[in-house]
Amino acid sequence: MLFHVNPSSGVPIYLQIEAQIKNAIAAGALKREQALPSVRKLAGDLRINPNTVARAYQNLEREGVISTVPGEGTFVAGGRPRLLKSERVRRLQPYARQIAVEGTQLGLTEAEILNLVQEELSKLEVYR
Amino acid sequence: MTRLAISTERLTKAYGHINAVQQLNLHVPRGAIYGFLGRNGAGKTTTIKMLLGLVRPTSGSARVLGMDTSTDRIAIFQRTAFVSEKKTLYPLLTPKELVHFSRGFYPTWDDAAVEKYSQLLEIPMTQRFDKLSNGNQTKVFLLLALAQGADLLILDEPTTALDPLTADEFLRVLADSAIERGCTVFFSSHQIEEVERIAEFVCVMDRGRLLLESRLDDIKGEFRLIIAVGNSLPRQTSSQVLSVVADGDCCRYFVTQDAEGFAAELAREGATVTQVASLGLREIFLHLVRKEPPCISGNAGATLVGSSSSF
Amino acid sequence: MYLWKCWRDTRWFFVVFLAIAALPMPMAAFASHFGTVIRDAGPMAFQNTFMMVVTAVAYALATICAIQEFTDKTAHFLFTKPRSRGYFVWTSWIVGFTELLIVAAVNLFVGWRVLAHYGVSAFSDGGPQSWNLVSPQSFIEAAIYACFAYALTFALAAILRSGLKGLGASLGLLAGMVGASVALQMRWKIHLPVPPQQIGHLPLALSECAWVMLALLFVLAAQLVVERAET
Repeated sequence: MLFHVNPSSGVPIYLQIEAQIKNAIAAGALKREQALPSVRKLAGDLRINPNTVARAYQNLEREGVISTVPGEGTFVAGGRPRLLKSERVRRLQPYARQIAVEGTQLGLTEAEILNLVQEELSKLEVYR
Repeated sequence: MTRLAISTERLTKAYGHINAVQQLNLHVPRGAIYGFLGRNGAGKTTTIKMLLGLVRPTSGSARVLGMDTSTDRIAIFQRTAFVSEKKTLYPLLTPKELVHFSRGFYPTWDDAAVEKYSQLLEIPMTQRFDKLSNGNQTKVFLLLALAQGADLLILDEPTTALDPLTADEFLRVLADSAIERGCTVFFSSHQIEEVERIAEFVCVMDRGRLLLESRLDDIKGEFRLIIAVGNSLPRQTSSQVLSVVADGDCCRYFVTQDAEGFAAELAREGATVTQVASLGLREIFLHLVRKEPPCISGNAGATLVGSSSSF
Repeated sequence: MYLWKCWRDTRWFFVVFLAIAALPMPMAAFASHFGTVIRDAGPMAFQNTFMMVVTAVAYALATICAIQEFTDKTAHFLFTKPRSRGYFVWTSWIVGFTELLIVAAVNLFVGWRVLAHYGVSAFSDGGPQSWNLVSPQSFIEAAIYACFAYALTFALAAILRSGLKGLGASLGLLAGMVGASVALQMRWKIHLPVPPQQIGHLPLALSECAWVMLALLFVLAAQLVVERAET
């Protein structure tokens, strides 16, 4: 129910799912240790290939975002993400660059841009 | 046990001077959902017919479920369900009677599936086939295919006559039964959005030749449209840059791999890259088949096959 | 399952043919109830009706049995079923042939019983004006011809992919054979046997067997053509 994909977009479906799960976790819609729908259920609901969902789940599990308990299902991970800090920083950088470029194009000052980011962070569950 | 449900080697069919299918090399992995795209007359139906022994190849060979299509047809049919492009069946029989007719051929027949899917797809089971609408006739075919308990489903334009809701239901059923039973689905379609939803692998055919065969995720991950502005922009095509459309000092490049690298190179030569856009399957398909002159054979996606996806 | 389908396709025709087989003799007998006609002309009428019924039904069954399977519209469905194409050819042939046999048997039985009712021997005209035109041999020859016509029409219908085309071709071929036979006989005094006539100096029994063999060869040819057909 939480997820919606656009198959016609240029972004592969599995990446869309990964992004949405991460977003949901960050926004608090998915809590720690909460169960995720099974591969078949999610694939059926979204009308997509179950292997696509499986791929997204596998990637997220490798990153430590979710974990699978055999016989019980898939859950949002309780512990800390498994990736190295340097890798996590590296992954965020393109988004940071985009904000910087866009903000500059729109003629906003550095302070205004930073304020915006602060606001968004405070809206997220994780930081409240 | 081969890893491929379907494989062809230089499969060719010529009708006199017309080459319907030329040197086709297909690889359909077991358990995959594989979409087969192409314009009308591209050779999709002829290829499918050759896989099923309804048409004899001029040269080349094909293997289905590990068996040779020219010698082991009966064994292939035991495990393969086929929905033809022409959705015609015995006009005087009702779907119920058609089920009765088909059941006797297959030891793997699933009566529960008949019950479930006939209700899900809303098929009038006691009406004569010739009195059914196009959509319902197609649904009968799909029902017979799903109930057969086959290891491989070969579907030629399965959803063409279906309304969007029924097509949607059918796709869900297809994907679900594929994963439940581990069967392979090979289907040709004009509905690119549907292929995009459920196919894991995609193949594009045009004028009898294979243009592209790869994992859909890889295609979307690699293919990019690059728009650049500059004075002396390169105009040659290559295996990396499939097409170039120039308009004054602006060029659009259809790039199949390492788009970032190509964009960086353009930037180094003094051009301004305004966009590196990812593409949906429809746009990719149109670019591939619209290209002038036509894409030469040799699998435009050959390099993609090698990199991250191994069949 | 395929057997069931062949039966289902032909069952109403079969009922009609049975009626055609069973009615003529009783009707004729009833019409001539108060005359002596039945004694003199009975066997002749019986033989003639047998020949006509069995021949007509043979052609009709061959046209019907072949027509629905081998039109291209359902070939994609049938020929992707896990049975050889030869199986489909022979099964539909056997269903039609069995029905033909039953129709012939019914006709023989009814005629024989009707004539026996009047004390007339069915298979020979041994009455005062005996011409010896009626004999068991004539019945057998009629049956052989019907068998031949059935197989040939069936085979041509399968090869030409249409029941009516098969019928037309078969009748045309027969007419051609008869015409050629007559011409050869008159012009060069060569005797070209037409089924179910005796072949050369072979004993009659062997000739009839030869015609039956030839008939089966037609069906075999049809099988080979269908196996190689592209749809």
